[in-house]
Amino acid sequence: MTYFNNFEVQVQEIEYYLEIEKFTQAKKAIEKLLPETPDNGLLLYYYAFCLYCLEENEVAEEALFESIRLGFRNVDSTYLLGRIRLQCNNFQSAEEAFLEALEMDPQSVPVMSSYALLMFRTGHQKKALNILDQALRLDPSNEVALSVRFIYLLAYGSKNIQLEMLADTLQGAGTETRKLLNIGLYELHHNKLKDAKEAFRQAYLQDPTNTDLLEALDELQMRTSLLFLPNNIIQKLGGPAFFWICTAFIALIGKLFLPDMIAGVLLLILVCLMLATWVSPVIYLAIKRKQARRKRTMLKQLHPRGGRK
Amino acid sequence: MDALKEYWIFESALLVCFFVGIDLGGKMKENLFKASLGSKGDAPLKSYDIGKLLLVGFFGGLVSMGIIGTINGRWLKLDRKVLIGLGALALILLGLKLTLLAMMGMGMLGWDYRTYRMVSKIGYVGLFIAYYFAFKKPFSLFVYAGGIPTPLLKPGLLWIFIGGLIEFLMVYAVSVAVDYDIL
Repeated sequence: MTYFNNFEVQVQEIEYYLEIEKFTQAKKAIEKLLPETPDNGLLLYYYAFCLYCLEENEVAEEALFESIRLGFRNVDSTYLLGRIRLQCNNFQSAEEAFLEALEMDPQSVPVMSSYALLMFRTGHQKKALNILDQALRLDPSNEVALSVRFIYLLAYGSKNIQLEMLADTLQGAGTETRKLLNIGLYELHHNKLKDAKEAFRQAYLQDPTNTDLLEALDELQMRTSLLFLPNNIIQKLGGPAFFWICTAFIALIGKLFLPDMIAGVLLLILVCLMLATWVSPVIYLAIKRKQARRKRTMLKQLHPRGGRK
Repeated sequence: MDALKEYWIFESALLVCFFVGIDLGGKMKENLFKASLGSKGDAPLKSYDIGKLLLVGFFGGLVSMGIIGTINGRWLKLDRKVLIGLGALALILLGLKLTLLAMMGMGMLGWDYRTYRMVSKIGYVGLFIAYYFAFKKPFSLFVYAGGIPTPLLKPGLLWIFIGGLIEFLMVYAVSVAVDYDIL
């Protein structure tokens, strides 16, 4: 009795970690429990789910097949199989899995929404929108459906509709991390890098084990540094294309109406600004590498035998 | 009796509509959840980073931009009419470029070669902008849905070379035609 109670408590702990999206902790807890119960289909399903969220897709698929072999064949496992295959870009087999899941449960909104996402990825936009509409009619506050719709509206919607959609996703179900990520994505789409960085930083504080978030934060750190000021100015002006037009236009006006020297100086400033945008990532990475080398040297000096006594 | 008959016809029509509607609805639902992938021409979306296409257009010219823009547009599954329109724009700008060159050669246009090159570059950027705005929304959706842009370096260099060569040959042909009074 005590053993089963302990097992149940540990499974509840795993389910709690999954609910708050702490996948690394959940994976560790499952790996402790699996040797004692290797034939538990549900546990293997949870394990596959963690691995999928941590982007270890091959092992996730193996664990999931094992779980299905042990009898855990239902909408959730088939849906997860579809998600894994989608993440691996196996679009045809992902579609087969989603359709199989929809045959088991035709009203499943998360499956419909993921299938809509697959259709967006493969260029079947009308079909994707129809499926998404159906999903949102069934459950207007479903997190997966709202996320997929938000992705679509970021690309195709006006700013007002995007804000409305963002408000819906913030009010819907979902973790704080996910909501902050949506805010960050919205700010990034509108080139508000500092606001995006703040949102991603808050999301990272909620989930410090998320390495993708850390990479995104590093990238934003770079793009909001002083070295990238020319890039940000050009982006604010409308992007490189618009900047080149202005340069060409100013060159033409300068040639026709201004003295050669002034036209030449103007052109030189604009070309230098453009060159600076190409050179700034290289300089930034060089500075970061130098700082990392200096840090390693300092650490070696503090612990000359690499920390071992 | 007529009223009853009318009523019966009306009710039957309603019933037919009802069943046809249900059947149509059923067919629509069936189509939504029927496999769409797997046929030969059904590739997933792909795209270059559309901002970097400017480099191909600027250094390669109208032919390079037109070709790589069409390839990218087909990868993003853009509407055929839009792609044809953009292709037509590329051809029009190319025609305009060659016409201006001929007019310069015949002395009808008081431009020097530097001005002509500057105007050509503006044309290249203009074509890029047209493609950019056509690609912007589909490319954003592609990226946000998890797609990764295909590297542009090798194909970009290739199309800059090929497109640039084709355009150079056209410009050379027009220059020769002007010199030999063919035009």
